Amino acid sequence: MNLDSCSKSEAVVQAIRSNQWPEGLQAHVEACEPCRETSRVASWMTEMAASLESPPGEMPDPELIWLKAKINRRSQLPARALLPLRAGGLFGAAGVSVLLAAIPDVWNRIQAWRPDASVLAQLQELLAAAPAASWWIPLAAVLLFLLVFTASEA
Amino acid sequence: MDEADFRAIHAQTAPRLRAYLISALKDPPLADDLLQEAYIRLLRAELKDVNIHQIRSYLYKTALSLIADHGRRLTRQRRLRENLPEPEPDRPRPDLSIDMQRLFDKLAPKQQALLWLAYVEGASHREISGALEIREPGVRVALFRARAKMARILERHSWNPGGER
Repeated sequence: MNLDSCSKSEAVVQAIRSNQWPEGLQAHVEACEPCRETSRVASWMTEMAASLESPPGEMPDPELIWLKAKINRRSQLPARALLPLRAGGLFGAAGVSVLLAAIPDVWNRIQAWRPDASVLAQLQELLAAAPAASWWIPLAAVLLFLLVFTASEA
Repeated sequence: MDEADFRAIHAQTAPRLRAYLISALKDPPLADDLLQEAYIRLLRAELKDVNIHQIRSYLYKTALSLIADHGRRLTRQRRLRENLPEPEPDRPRPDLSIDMQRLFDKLAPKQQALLWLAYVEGASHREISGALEIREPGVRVALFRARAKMARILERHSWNPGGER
């Protein structure tokens, strides 16, 4: 492809847009085929654009746009405010899942609990065997509460 | 961006952007709706440390995407109404020369946007690249092709600078 452009084509476009021709540029356009083509197309484009431009009174009011954007921003605020609660709900759900996953193991250990041993020793053994489940119980309860709360808020 | 900044940006960019939307859509009320949406998206984007050229590029990119969405919606609606009579043709704006509009419509939408940005807005290749989402080196080639095509169209229709046809 022959991209026969001229280094002065940008100056030609600028001259057409501003209607101010530096000395010698018009003579150059007459002699330079790419610049002649640029001049023809750019003149036509600017004429068409001018026929489409509206007088300032017909332009949409920027204040209206500003207000609409402001209202849009405000309407998005409640959704943003609920984000931490929703995240809490998700963590709650994860906690409950872990708790449920631990139940069979804890249940097996309760079943295997020897009644003749001292209660305290057995309980310590049970806690040592399932530390994650034990620590998750109160945390999961709180997170479950958050989940229920955010679901009802949403 | 505060309200005064927004007003200044609007005053600087809206008249030509609106003219472009009218040329692309041939429907001034629809052009005004899309214009408004483009500015609302600009405000929502909360762009930081950007100059007027980058803002203009963002506005054109948004406008082009809104025009494409509108085109897709129209196509869907036409498909749904296939058994109904043909929709009304686009209404030409009374003060736009129908000949000019007809000639400009011979270009692909992207070529129209390219020539508009380059010759009406005086945008740099970088700005055009941002607005049309084409690589910066590709802008020169695309602009050359669009300009050559438009020149051929004008030549075929005997249009010369100065308005004599």
